[in-house]
Amino acid sequence: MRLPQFLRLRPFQGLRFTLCGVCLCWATLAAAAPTTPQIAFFRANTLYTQGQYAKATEAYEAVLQSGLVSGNLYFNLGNAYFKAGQVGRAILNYERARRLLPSDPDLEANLRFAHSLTGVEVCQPPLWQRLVFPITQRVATDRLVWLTSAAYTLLFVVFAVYRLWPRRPQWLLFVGWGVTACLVVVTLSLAQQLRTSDWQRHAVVLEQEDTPVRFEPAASGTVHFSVTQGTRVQVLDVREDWWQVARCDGRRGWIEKDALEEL
Amino acid sequence: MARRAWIPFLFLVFGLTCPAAASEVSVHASVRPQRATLGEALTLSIEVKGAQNTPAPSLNIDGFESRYLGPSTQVSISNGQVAASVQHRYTLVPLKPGQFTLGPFPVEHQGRQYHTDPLTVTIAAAQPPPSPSGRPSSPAQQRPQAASGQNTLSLELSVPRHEIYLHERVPVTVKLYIGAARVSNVQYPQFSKDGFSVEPFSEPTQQRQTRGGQTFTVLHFDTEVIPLRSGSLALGPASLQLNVLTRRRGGSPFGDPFFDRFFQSDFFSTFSSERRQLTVRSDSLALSVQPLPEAGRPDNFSGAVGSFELEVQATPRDLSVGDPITVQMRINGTGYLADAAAPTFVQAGGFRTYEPLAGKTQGSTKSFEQVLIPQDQTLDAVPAVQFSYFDPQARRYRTLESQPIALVVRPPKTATRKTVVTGHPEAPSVRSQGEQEALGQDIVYIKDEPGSLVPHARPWYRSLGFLLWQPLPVLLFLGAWWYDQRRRRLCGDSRYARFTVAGKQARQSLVQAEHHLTQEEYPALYTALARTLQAYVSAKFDLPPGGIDTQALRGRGVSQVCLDRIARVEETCERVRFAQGTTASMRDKSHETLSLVRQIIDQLERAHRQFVVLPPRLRRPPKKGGATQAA
Repeated sequence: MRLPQFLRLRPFQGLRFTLCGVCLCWATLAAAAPTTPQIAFFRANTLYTQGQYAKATEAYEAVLQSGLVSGNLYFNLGNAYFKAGQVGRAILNYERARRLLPSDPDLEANLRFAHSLTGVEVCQPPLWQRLVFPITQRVATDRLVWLTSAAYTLLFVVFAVYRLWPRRPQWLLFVGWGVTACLVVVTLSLAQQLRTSDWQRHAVVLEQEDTPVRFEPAASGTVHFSVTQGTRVQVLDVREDWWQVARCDGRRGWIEKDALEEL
Repeated sequence: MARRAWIPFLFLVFGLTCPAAASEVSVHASVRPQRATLGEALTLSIEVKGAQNTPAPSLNIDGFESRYLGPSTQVSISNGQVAASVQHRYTLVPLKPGQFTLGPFPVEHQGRQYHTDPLTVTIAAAQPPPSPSGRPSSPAQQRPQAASGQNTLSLELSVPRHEIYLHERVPVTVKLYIGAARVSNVQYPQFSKDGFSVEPFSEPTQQRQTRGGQTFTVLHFDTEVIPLRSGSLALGPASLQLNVLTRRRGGSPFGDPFFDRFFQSDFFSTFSSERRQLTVRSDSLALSVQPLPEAGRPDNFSGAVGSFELEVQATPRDLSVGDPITVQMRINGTGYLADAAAPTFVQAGGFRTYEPLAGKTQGSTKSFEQVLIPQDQTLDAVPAVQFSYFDPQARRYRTLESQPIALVVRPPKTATRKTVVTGHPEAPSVRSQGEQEALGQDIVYIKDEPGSLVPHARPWYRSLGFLLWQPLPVLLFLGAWWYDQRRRRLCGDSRYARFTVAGKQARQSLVQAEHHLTQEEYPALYTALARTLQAYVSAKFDLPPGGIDTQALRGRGVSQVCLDRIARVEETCERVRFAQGTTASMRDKSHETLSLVRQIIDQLERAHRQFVVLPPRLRRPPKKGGATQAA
C-alpha cells in the first residue's frame, strides 16, 4: 500500500525531523530543569556582592544540599557567615574548606582573622611533628593519597625494570632510592593526617557566648572550662544530648550537643 | 703521637704568658680581722691581679710591726681566659690601740705604679686573760691541763653590740683559745639560735695571741645572725667539739731516762699520745632586740635593714611607643634583704607598669626586674626609683633614689588598632589595642569560581577500583623477579635448562616424525622416534645420550609401566631399523609406536614436572658446552 504523496518523506527528511524533535525536547527540558549547582553558586555570589549575606548563606547552603562540595564553596559560605555576624559558623566552614584547600593563602588569612576576633588560640603541632611530617595539613588528603599511590607504583615499576634490564644500570637504582625517600615522606605525612584529622571526629563551637564544658554529661556538672565560638574540639564520645570533647591542650569534658557542629 | 706532644705544651705556655701579659693589672688589699685587740696579730694581703712578677711592696705602717710572710701565686683558666695573680702576705702586730688606716700601698709593675684602696682597722686595748670559761662537759668532765696545770682551752662567743634591731645582720665571732694542749679534729661551733636566723660559718682563721703572759693559738669562727623577733633573746651558749691529745703515762719501753726524753719528743708523741674527745662551751649572750622605730618610717619602706646601694639600668633606651622597657634594679650592700620589697617609681605617669619580678637573693644582693611600656612619645626618661631601708648604725631610715634614665621614645612603627569591617551590625569587633588609627583588617573576598564540585560522598580513594589497583605494582614486581630468576637459572644451570626444554623439544620432534609418517618414510620415522625418546629421556633425567639406561630410570622414580613402554618402543625401533622389516610390518607398527612415544612423553611430563636436584652419585660429569646448547 502506497502512502499519498504529501505523506511521503524524501531521503534524509525523516532524520531531519528526528533531530528537530530531539532539539525541541532538550530545549524544553533544559528550560524546565532546576538550576545547576554552578549557576546556584554564581547567584549566591551575586547576593553576597549585593550585601545580602543572609540570603547568600542560604544560596550556598542550597548548593551543598545538592550533594556537591568544593573548597571554594565552603570558603564563600564562611565569608557569608562572617559578614552575617556568625563567626563560629564562618570558622566551621573555613575549617571544612581547609580540608579541601589546605594551602590556600586566602583561606588561611580569613581563618586567622576570624580566630583573632574570637580570641581562640590555635594549637600548632610541635616542632618534631612539623619536621617528621612536613606536608601534613599542607596538602589535601586525596592529593596525599594520590601522591602516595603514585610513588608506590613508580617504586615497584622502577625495581621491576631494574630486574628485567640485563645491564642493571646504577642510575636506575638511585632513581629507586629517590622514589623510596619520597614515598617515605608522603606516607608518613599521610598517616599523620589521617590519624589527626580524617580518622578523628572534630567539631566547632557555634555558640556566641562562652559555653561551659563540664565534668559530667549533666547540666548540674561542675564546669571544667569554657570554650568560645570558633573553638575546634575533638569529639571523643556521644551520650544522648552531650558530647565528650577534648580541647587541643588535652583538657576534656562534656558539652551540650547543640553548641557544636561537626566538621 | 710523641712528636705532637709538644703542641699542648706550646698552647699552655702561650696561653699562660700572652693573656697574662695582655690583661689589665689591678691591685687589692685586705686585712683580717678588721677588729682586733692589742697583742692580736693581723694578716694583711696585697693581691696583684694580671701579673705574677711584681715585687713585694715594703711596708712601714705607723703603730704596727710588719713582717713579710711570702708570695702566693695563682693561675686559673676559665672559658679559655687565663687569669694570673700574686698575693703578698704580711703579719701585722699592733703596737698601740686605736683606729688606723692602712694604705694605700704602692705596687710597682713594669714601671707603672698602682695603689691599693685604704683599709681601716680598729685595735682595742688589751683585755685580761680569758677566764677559765672553757667549761669542759661530758664526756670529758675535766678540763685537759698541761703539765704546768694552766687552763689550756676556752671558747668565747662575742658580738659587737648587745642592743640590736629587728632583722639587723649582726656579726658573731666564736673564738677558740688553745693554750698548751694539742688538739685535733676541731668541729665547727654550734649554739642555740632560737629567734635567730644564722648564716653558715666562714672558713676559720688562726692567730697567735698573748694574754696575761700566756701565748694562745686562737681560732676565729665568724658568722652572722639575724634576729627574727624583738624582745630579749639569748644567743648561745656555743659549744665546740674537738679531740685533745694527751701523753700516755710511763716512759720508753726501755726504762731508761735517755730513751724517755727521746720518746717524749714531738715526733713520737703523736704515736704515744691518747686521743680524748672534748666539748668546750662558752657563755651565752643576752641580746636586746629592738623593734624598728615607727617614727620617720617612710611609706615605701621596703623592710630591708642594713646598709645598701641601689643600681638601676634600663634597656632599651631608644624605642617606639608600645615597646617594653626592662628596668633592672639591684640592691647591694650589707644587711637583711630576704623580705625586701621592690623599689618604687617616683612618678610613672605615661607608662604602663607591670608587677616587678624579684630575682634570687644572693647574700646581701637582691635584684628586681620590672617592665614599663611607654604610652606616649613625649616621654623622655625612665622615672627615678626609690628604695627605703632602715640603717641600724645610724638608727634611722634612709631612702635611696636613682637618677632618671634618659629615653628616646619614637612614634609607633605599626598599626596598633584594628578595625573590623563587617556587614552586620552585631558582628563582633576587635579589642582596641591603642589609640592610634591604623590599617584596617577584613576577610579576603569570596572566590569567583566554584572550583571542582565533587559529590560529598565516600572519597575516591575508598573506591573498589583504587583498592584493586594497589596490588598490581607488587604483582608486576614479583613477575619481573620470577622471570629474572628463571632466566638466570636457564643461563647458568645446564641440567635445569635441559630438563625444562626437554618436553618442548620432544613434541617438536614428534611433529617431525608425524610428517615422516604421512610421507610414509618409515625408516626415517623410526629413527626419529628412537632419537626423540633417547634425547628426551637423557635431557629429562640428566642421563648420557646414546642409550636409555632402564636401571637408572628406575632409580629416578619412573614407573614400571612407563619403563615397559620405553622398552617396547626401543625394541620396535631397533627391530625395524636394523632388521630392515617389510614395509607392511613397518606401517603396521608405526602408528602404535608413535602413540607409545607420545604417551611416554606425556606421562613423564606429568609425573616429573619438578626439577629434582640429584645427589652427587647420580649426577653425570658436566659436559662442556652443555649450558650453551641448552640455552
